[in-house]
Amino acid sequence: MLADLEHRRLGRRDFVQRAGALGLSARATAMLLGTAGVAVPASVMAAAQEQGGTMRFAVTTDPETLDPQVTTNSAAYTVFDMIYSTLIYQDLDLTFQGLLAESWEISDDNLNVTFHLREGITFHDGSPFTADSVRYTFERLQESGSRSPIYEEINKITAMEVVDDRTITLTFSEPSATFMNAISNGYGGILSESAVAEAGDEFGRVASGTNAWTLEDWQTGSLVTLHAFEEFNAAPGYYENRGRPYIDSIEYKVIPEAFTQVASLETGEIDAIELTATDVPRFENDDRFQIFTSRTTGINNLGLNPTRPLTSDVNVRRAIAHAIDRDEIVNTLFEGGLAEPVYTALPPSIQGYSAEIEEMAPHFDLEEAERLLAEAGWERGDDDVLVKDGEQLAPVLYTTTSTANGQIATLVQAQLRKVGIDMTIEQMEIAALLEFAITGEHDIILLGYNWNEPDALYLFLSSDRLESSNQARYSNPEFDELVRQGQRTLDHEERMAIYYDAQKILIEDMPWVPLYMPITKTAVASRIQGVDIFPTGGLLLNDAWVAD
Amino acid sequence: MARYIINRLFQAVIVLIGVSIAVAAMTEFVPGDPALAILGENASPDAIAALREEMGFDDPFWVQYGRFIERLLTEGSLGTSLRTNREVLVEIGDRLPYTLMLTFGAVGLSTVLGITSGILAAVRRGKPTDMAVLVGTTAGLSVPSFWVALLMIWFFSIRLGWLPVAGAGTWQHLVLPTLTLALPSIATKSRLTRSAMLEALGQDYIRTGRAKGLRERRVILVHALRNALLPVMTIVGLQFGALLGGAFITEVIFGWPGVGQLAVNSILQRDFPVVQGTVLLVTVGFVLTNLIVDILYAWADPRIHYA
Repeated sequence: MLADLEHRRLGRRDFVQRAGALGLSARATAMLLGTAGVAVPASVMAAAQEQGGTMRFAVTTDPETLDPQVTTNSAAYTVFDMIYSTLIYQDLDLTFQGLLAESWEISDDNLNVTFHLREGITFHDGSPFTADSVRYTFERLQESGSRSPIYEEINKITAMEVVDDRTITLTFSEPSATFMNAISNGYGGILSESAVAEAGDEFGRVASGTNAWTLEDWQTGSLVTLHAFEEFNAAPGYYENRGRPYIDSIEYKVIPEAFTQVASLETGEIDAIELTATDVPRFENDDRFQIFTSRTTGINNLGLNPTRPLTSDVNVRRAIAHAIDRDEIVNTLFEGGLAEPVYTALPPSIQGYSAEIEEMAPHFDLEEAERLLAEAGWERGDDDVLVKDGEQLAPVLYTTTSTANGQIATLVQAQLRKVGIDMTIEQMEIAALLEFAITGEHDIILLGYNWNEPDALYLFLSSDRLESSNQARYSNPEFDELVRQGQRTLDHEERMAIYYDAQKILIEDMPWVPLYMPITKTAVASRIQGVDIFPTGGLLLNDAWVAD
Repeated sequence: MARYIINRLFQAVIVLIGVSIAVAAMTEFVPGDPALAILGENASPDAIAALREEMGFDDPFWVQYGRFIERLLTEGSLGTSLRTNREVLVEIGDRLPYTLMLTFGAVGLSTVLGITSGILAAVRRGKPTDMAVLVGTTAGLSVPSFWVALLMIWFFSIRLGWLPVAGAGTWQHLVLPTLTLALPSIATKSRLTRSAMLEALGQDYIRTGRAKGLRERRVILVHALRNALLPVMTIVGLQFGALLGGAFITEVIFGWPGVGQLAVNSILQRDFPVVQGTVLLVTVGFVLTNLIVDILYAWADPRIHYA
């Protein structure tokens, strides 16, 4: 095949299609093309990847706004992430690389970061991208971005000095190891001051960034249309095509219902969706579609509330961790490989994951579970349920009303019953559950998180978050100190050692029983060629073209 | 008549005040904190507290209600969405045309088909036509609408490829949601028409008409139908009022950008001002259509007089 290409008998597109038939991913194909050392002539490329066509996606709600600084709505993120670009981006190996910034330096005391910006970049409204754009963006976030997930991070900046058009120095109140991650995601998208000023209150319904797509039309509740930005010249390095996308336009159709989304994919009304377990086999065996697999940066877990009488004993919590058979959960409830069992709070998709910690963590072991429970003074009583001081070991598990969570809870219930724990299940609508969780009146809570940074340990388990995201109600000063230190430690090795220690505390205290890491399979219509997926999700479209 | 209408409008205002108080109280009693729902899974406690205060949800509900009424009277505004920061009236206004399209389509289709099949069943009482209508309406009433919707998507969109699954914009997009909404009410209206027609056809004036030598067609379509239509009109009115607030399930399934989809989203995301706005819209719809139905009653039934 490579020989064919060298003799230019195959167009690049044929090559990619054949490679696809051989089961090579687009990225592997790109690597092969690279190793073959063949300069593909521009004429061949153009023949294969003609500009034009429309790719259509489904979103479950209308975007709330396309102002990246005031929302956490996922449909909004999906769309504005296409419109705005950031100073830096996370590469396929999860390291940070320059995007709107060419390079940066960090001062020795870790309190100053100087960004050197790229030249020749314009916003969609025609205004130039300069150091002032960066200053304006972060100042606006500090002022009015209290709803943004990166608000706290940006507020660590105490001064911004625009050295010249191409240089800006940020000064921090304390060293921040999480800052680079914060500004590399879409919430850190750089705004055009003139576009915001011109739009006034309407900003968010109109948008103007530096990314590959411009907002063309928005029909409320129904359809958002983006068009390729003709002057685009700053695609991340993992693309071959660093300029204007080959695809002309992208449509986001609002389709709330999962069944309707699948039906729309089948009829060709949309080109890509994330599959649910029941749909995976059908689409995997249908050559009208390509399937892309990615990992989630998070886990679903049981939070065992240490402040409740039944779950306050660490032996009970460890016993529960030993009684849960993750393999059974994954194999029976996640057909098509949509989950991987996990034993650590940081899964393999996040930096800070440690195979060593995984080894040490409690695994499925019924005998050990029963031994720990006996040690804690629990004995089998009526109906084989464990009893101590006249009280039964009958905790209540709270979770959301989702079908998947209901099924997992039921399976966990059956598994715990084997060691004599008589668990009951309460399902609540998500907004009600999150409010209820703050009261701390739950023994066990089944929830998940998604955060692409080891700082997730701080966000979801530190006592600073007891009134919000720490639904397990875990509190350990030693652990708190470590995860706070992790936020301030910029040296990678040192930082990872801190998270190793923090996770070691977790597997001793067991406030969380990690269950599984969700896996995403995305079906994409075959008419869209050259697509790939980021390892932790998100279709890569700049090399893609429409082939019909 | 004018006095009657003024009276009824006055009553309508009282109903609206009652409903608006009930909806305002909802922010107090419905579980789920809007600040928490808006800020997402990783919000800091400070940010949550700050947003709660900014939105005024820490105030007792009568204070919040007072603000709501003040804004309504002084600015003619129902407030702004907690999510999009746009005026609630603008949010609803964007969706209302789609809901109206669906409402008129479904009410129109179901009224025409319902009354026609009802008349046919009544006139051919006990014959195969009557039986067929009976079977059809039983099915129409007992099959849940979401199931009908899924079945129609499977058949018309996936199998035959005739109609689009979801979205809006062309007349084809309107077909499946309209049918889904119309089917159960075709059945209701058909049954109601049939029984009302049978009752009317048994009346003395019908016999008199026939004895006078009127054509059967005129007896049925003019004399009997005019009286039989009264209860059907009530149903049409109620249905119209209910649909103005959006057909929740149907709009969600077909991704139809109407008020129903907006309401469902706003409830899930605890966007209370928008929920309040859509509930008030449903109320206004109900009250107005009821009023119109009552007025039409007077036109259709000369025995009714309004003092």
